[in-house]
Amino acid sequence: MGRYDENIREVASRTMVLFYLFDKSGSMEGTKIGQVNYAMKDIPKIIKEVADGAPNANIVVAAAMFATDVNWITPKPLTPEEFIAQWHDVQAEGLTCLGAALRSLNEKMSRKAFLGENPMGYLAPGVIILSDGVPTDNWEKSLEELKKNNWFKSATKVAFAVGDDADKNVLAKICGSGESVVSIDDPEKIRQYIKFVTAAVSKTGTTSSTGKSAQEIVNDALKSIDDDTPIVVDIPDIDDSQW
Amino acid sequence: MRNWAVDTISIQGYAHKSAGKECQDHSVSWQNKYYDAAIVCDGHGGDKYFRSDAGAYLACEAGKKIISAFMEHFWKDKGFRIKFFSSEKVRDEMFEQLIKAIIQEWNQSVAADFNAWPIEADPRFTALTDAEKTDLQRENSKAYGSTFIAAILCEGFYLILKLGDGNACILRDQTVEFAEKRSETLRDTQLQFNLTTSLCSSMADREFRYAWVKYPLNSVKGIILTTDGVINSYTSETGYLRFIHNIFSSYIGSDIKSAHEELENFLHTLSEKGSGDDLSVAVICRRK
Repeated sequence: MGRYDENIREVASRTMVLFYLFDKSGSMEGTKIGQVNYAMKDIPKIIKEVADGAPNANIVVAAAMFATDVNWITPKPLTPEEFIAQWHDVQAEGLTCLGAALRSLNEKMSRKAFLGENPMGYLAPGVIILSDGVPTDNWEKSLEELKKNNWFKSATKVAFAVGDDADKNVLAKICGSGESVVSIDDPEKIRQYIKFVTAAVSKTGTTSSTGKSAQEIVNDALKSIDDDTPIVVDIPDIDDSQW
Repeated sequence: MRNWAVDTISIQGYAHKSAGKECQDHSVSWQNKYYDAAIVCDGHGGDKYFRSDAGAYLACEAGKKIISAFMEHFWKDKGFRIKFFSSEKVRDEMFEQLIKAIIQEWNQSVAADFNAWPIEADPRFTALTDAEKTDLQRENSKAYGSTFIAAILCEGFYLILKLGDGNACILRDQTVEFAEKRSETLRDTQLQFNLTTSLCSSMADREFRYAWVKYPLNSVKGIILTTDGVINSYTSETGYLRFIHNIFSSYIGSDIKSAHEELENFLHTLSEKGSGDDLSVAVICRRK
């Protein structure tokens, strides 16, 4: 038995929290919410594959659905395995209270809430937002407060604007740039986009820097999306046959 | 008769091995009859800092040269020593001069390296974006960015100099503690969200932290310095401190060669299972 055997047991990695903030307002009914429900079941597998390739990182998931209210599906950030056990399909109904969702995200991105129990600290988080409509509440004030949050400032952010009614300008303001907003015209593609962005954000956020910021790398990846060809999720063993 | 041991190890991280990148950590230790000293430096990752391995090496060399000159002056010049111990204000001025001299020496070494091998001729420069190229042409030293931690231990006092992330731990009696525990001046609130202060910063002299600590004879048994990849490998500070304690035990209780080999072997495993980063450990300890 070696002198340092006991010192390897406590080794682990820093944690990246991947926040999902998805619209489940009434207008999401049908294919859109169905694709979201479908995609979220794939997320644990993608994250696990990314984490296996990054020895220095754990990835955990925090997910909320917003409509008239904000509902956190995860009571705390969960491992991929815990997340799949916790997930339940959601129904579309209600308004698009994006402001309330941003306010709630601000509360959760705090050492007193979702970013407080890891003594080794965290990697910069990922934030993935999806909406198909115009906010129905005061989102400006919430965003103003959220932008003061250091976790949010350091986060890699991507937003999905689903359909013609989605307000891309609002989503661009949240992400800091229109380059981080992905327009999805075909609801049938929502699942595939969510998988692609989950892989890109989590992989970029947990591997060594290449000189560009994680946000720049993800934005470059988003530019490479060609709507006429299937998205290739560069993670082994992902079943893309549903495209 | 002083019976202290000094040693350093720097290993290429698991992630760097996998990516075919060089080790960007460097470390150095030395001793004489008056004092023991060690330095660890961590060159920044990222394509823009493509000469940070050289930057870390030059930082170790600059630190050793300037600290050696300072300590020689300290021991040979009684007037200097009297002045040194006369007041905290005078000491602070001396340490600030010491820090400025290290930064200046590093910048001169970097400039010499740059002049011998201009970055524009480096293929890693041509691979950068236009904005990054412009930035580096304005401030060449950024390509060499590195952190810096040094420890100088004498009978009765020690000095820690620190710029950027990484850790200094003290073995006091039988307990290992972070140097910051008794030296608030070493704390740096800028070190979060993967950010670090650096020798290549134009404000490096103001960003340096230092602590000079007097201790009752025999109460301090050693100092260990580590680059940030070591603590980032652990789930808790307690786990990290247990590892540091084990290193002290090994160096105090074994022969130096065996202790060195055992630690070096373990650091490769630690990087693979932990942070994936390059790792450096510098040890100064009182031998039995």
